[in-house]
Amino acid sequence: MAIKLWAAAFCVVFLSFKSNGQFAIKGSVRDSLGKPIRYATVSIVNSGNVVKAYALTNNTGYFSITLADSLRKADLTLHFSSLGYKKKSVAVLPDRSVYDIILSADTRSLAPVTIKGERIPIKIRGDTITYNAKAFSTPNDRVLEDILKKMPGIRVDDNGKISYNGKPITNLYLDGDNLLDDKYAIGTKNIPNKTVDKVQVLDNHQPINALVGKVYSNQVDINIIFRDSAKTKPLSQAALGAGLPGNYDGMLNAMLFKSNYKAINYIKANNIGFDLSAEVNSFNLDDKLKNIDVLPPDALLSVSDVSKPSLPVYRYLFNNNAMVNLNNLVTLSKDVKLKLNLYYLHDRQQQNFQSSTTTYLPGDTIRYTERQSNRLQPDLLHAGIDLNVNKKTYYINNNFNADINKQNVTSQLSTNGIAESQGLNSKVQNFSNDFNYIGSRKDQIFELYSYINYIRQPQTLTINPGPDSGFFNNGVPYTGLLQSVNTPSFFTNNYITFGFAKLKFQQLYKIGFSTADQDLTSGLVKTLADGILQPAVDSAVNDLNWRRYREYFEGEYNWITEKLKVTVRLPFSFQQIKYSDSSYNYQNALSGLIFNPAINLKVSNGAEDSWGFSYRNITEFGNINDVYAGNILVNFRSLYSNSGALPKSNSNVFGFNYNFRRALKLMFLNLNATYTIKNANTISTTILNDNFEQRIILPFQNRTNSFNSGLSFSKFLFGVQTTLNARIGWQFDQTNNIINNALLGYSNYITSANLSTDSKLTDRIFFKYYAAYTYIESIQKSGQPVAGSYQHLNQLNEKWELNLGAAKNLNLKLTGEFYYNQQILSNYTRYFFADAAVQYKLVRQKIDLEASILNMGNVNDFDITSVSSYAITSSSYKIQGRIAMLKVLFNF
Amino acid sequence: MVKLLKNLKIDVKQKLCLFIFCFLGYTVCAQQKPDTAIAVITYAFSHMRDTTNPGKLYTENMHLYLGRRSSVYKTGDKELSDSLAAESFKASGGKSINIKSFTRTQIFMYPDPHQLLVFDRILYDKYLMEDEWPVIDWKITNETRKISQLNCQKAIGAWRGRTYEAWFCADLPFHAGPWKLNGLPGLIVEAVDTRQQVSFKFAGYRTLNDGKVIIKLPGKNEAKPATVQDFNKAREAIRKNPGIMTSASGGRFTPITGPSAKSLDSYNNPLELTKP
Repeated sequence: MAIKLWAAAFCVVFLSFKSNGQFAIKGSVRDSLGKPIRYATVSIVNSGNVVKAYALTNNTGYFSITLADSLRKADLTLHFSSLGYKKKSVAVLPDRSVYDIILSADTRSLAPVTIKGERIPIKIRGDTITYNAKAFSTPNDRVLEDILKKMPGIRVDDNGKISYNGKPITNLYLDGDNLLDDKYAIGTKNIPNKTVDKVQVLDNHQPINALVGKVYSNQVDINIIFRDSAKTKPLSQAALGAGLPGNYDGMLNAMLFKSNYKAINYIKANNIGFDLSAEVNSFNLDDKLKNIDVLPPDALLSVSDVSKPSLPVYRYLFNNNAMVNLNNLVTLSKDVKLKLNLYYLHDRQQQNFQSSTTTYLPGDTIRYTERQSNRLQPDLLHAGIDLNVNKKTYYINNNFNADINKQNVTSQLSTNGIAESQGLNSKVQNFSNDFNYIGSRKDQIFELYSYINYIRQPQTLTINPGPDSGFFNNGVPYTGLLQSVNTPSFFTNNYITFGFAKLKFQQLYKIGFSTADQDLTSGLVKTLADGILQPAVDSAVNDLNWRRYREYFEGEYNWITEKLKVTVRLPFSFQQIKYSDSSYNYQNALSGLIFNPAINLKVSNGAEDSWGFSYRNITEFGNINDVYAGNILVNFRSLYSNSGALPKSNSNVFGFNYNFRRALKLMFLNLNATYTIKNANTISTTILNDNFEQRIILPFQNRTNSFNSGLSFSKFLFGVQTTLNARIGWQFDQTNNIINNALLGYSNYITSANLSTDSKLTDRIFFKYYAAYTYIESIQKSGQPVAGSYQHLNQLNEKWELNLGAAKNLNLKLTGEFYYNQQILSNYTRYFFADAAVQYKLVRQKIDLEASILNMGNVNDFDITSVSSYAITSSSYKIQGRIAMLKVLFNF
Repeated sequence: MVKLLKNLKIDVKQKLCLFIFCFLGYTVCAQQKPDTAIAVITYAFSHMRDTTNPGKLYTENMHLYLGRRSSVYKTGDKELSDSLAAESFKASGGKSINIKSFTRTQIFMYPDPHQLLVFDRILYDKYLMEDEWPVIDWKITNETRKISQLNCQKAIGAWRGRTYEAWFCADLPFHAGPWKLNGLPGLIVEAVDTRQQVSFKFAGYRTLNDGKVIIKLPGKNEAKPATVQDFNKAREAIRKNPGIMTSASGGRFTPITGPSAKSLDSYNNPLELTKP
């Protein structure tokens, strides 16, 4: 500022001295009312119409132009112009230096002129966020997922699920084509990142052309734009890896990303713990089925109810799997697409674990131990065919899916020291058809939807020799038990929607019906020593027929303003449930009206703050698995049955959240809390004896509360180039349990704290740290006191990751993982895993080499303790030991 | 926990300051009434962003909307894109269309109070910043040239580290020009920097008599006030560490397989070589 002043002063002095070599023209420009015209152009033009000097009038309409002496004798003209006024020209007279000019108003607009120039021929798309793939790629990246993980706002979970700003994406488009639906991990885990040019996030994406600009969509999709070189010819890759001890990992793929033909086809096989079924996860299936009120029956039988270890899958999975996966999409004509998705997966898995559970009861403590060695053989076959017509005026989609999932398990079991062998066979057959028609005219929308689903899932469980002869066979040893069960189910949901869409207010009315027709047939038989088959218990069979019919009418209202967004949903339904079992001679029917309103409110408190409130009322009914009266042996230790009363619950859910952002400071803060009050008419009761557990659902007024809250904070620290994330969470729930006829009330508390940092130390060195601490408490609040009335557990998990770009095409990666689990002071476990990988690229030969060692410390067992209300479970798992691998990847 | 609480306290203070700041900021901005655009000039903008790769130029069509009291300079490709948006993606079924990033920055200039406002965004967050009014000391030359049908004259002036040779048309009574260039006795129709690294070539001019295009600053709810310095700092951090916002907004650890992206396409040669 000071310098400027000095410069100005200097100029003034300098100019005044030079004034003898120059002359000035001054004056003012005013309008016909005498008001000064500001910022008018005053230019001095010579006879050749060349501007020699100019000035702009100031706030008071004055101007001053200094001219070189050499122009004193030139033939000059003063031009006065300003928008909205007629131009004026005045000749410069040698003896006149002051020109006060009046311009008359010109109310005409500019004379229409169009002058064409050359434009840069480019085409760009609308208001989407586009990421340049190259900017996020490093030499070590192989597939699309590797670069997606680094893109701001995009999160990829360990299982491959993608979210954008916390919202799960619906589809992954490949150059506009939806080849994979919600099984998009096929794409993200296989498409080479080098073929990708751009990644676009389509927020509020309305994929149905007929609804574009009519119905607000909060769907998020991702679209992949391929490089030109990838769009013309088929791409192929082959990878071969071999390692010790006896490990392999192989892959061969062929992909095509032409505008009228998209394909991802591959064969893969490995035995290093990479579960290929993770690539064919349907990420949105559960939500979709929930939305259309279809509840596929759970698989009832299992060989064990021990949960999986809390480690990444590849650390504990002993597999031997192979998959063929074919995905092809053809554009038949403009807007008409046909696609075919097929896969077959075969695996042979080995599991070895042991577990012991201590249950504290009033005056008694029961301990179960089990040791299992299992061989699992899943076979998954899937076929899907989809025809899609997506025009501006209407939309048709028909999708047919067939799935056959076979699973054979043989299990060597030792339970409380008694050796058993188990066999579990299941074969799920699932066929569904999904039809959707949408038509639109101006601001009106019409939709027709139909979903049909048929599922069969026969299962058999055999246990030899017969367990707990005291319970099943009056203390006489017997050969074995055979439990068989099948739940053929037919679901359908059909509705019509009418909508009226205005910019700020939208109304949607839906009317339809849904049905569920199910049968549950089961039988539990024992084989006696002499080979004779007999029912194993008194009520050993089920022949249950279940039918639920629902008619519904729903109004949805969206009111959107700049500060406020309100959504109100008012669903009314009339429901009829009938179920009967002839073998128990019982029949039950109930019908009634259900009203489950939901309201959502979001208030923007300035551009970077918002808070939201939500309320939902949920009425839930039990399903067929809650009403069977005959006994079902769901696993070797548990026998389940029901009293015949249909569980019904009503919940009130209150939610609150607050978002605070200072994006410019790269600071984010989020607070959320949910409180649920649930009133149920039944309770699950458990009867435990030394070897066996029975569960029965009984009528009981059962009220429970739960609360869940979290505060997360993140900030980028400019000085140290580090992103810092921190989160604390607290949750509470209250449960009631009836165990061996004693009613016990418990309160469970979980407190957690997470911290992570992500630093860029130099252009080539990156470091990440993550720590998570959890404290779990379970306290008995009511009922007769039991021995373990207070349980607690400390868990700590830390991860380190160092990436080192040693040379241009050489990269080194070191990771460490630490797990700490402490139940009581003396009972704790500690594990440390270290992995290392070196990657080298032969750029010209298009070959990538990788040498890696997983689990360098050769940790072979993983022990962990978990607590629940009244029980402590300690488990020990056999896990993958040290694996050294050499891998070569060829690109053609 | 204590740390977090401390942070919260600071936030409250910051909020208060920001609130006052917002209020002040908007009283300034609020003075600028919407203005009807009466003409639009299009420039073919090209920029050598990376001097190590001089063959690769960033190109984009830019529009300068001209009103009686104001002007706004922004991308011309986005508008084209909007018209194509509905068609291209769904209708063409993802036919290979070239996708090219475009400038999101908009420069609003109000000559009367000498006010220059920059509207820009970082990902989804939009900001409005006041920048220094460019007072350019133009040297007018005698050189004239016809560009398309426009009679133009050359002037030379410097702004923020580059010297521009500008061609203005005295017949078009505007003082505006591409980007921040302004202040000549006629519309600047073309401008090229003397290093030949930045150029704004004439690509069309058209009067607008329908009053449909309004030059209007983004509203309070659309853009937050910010300073150019803060904005540039945040943008630079994101440019250098493309991954930072992932974890910053997600709050979850995602193990990565290699170093986070090294950097974007090299950008060593910005438009403004010197800072204000």
